[in-house]
Amino acid sequence: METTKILIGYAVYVPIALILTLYVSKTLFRNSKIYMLDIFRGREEIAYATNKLFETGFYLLNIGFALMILKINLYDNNYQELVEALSYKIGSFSIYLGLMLFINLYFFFRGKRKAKEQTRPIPEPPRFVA
Amino acid sequence: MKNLNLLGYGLFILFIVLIIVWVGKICYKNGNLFVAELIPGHVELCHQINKVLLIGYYLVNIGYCALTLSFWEPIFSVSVLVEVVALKIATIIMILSVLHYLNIFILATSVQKLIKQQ
Repeated sequence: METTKILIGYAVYVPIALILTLYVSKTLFRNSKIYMLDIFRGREEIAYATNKLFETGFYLLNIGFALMILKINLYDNNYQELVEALSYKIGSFSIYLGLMLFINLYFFFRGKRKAKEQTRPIPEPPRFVA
Repeated sequence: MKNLNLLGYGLFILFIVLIIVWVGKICYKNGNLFVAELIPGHVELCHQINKVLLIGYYLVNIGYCALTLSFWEPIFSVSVLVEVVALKIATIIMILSVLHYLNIFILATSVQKLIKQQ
C-alpha cells in the first residue's frame, strides 16, 4: 500500500499537536488567573469568566492552525523522509505556539500596566496657603 | 475505487457539531456575566437575551457547516480523506476563533466603563 507512511505521519502528528496545545494552554491559563485578578481589581467572577473565554480562544486558534498545516507530502515514501517531515511540522508548530504564548503574556502585562495606571491618583496642583 | 466522501461528511459533521456545541456552552456560561451588565437592573431579561444569542450562534454556525458540504472534492483514498476533513474543520475553527476574539474585544471595550467605575 502506498499511502501507509503518510497515514502513520498523521497518526503521530495529530495527537502530538493536540497534547502540546493542551499542555501550553493549561499552563498559561492556570498562571494567568493572578494577572486577571489584578486587572479586574480582585473581582473574581469577571476575572475567571474572561480567563475562560481567552482560554477557549487560544484552543480554537491553535488547534485550527495545527489542523490547517496537517498535509504531509512524501516523494519517496520511506521512513527517513517521514521523520524529517514530521520533525519539520512539529518544530514549526511548537515555534508558533511559543510565539502565541508570548503574545498572550504581552497582553496580560499590558492589561496589568493599564490597570495600574488607572489606580494612580491624579496629583493635586500645589496650592499656596497664606 | 470506492468513494469515501460519505464517510468524510459523517466525520466532519460529528466533529464540527461537537466543537460548536462545546464552544457555545462555554461562551454562554461565561458570557452571562458580561451580557448582564449591558442593561443594568434587568438580570432576567439579559439572561433571555443571552439564550437568544446562543440559539442564533448555533443556527448560523451549523447552517454554514452544512452549506460547505456541497463544495467538497471527490475523495478516493484515506490520506486525502484525513487531509480534507482536517482542512475543512480547521477553516471552521479559524472562523470561530476570529469571531470569538472579536467578541472579546468588543466586550472588553464596552465593559471598560464597568472596570473604571469600580
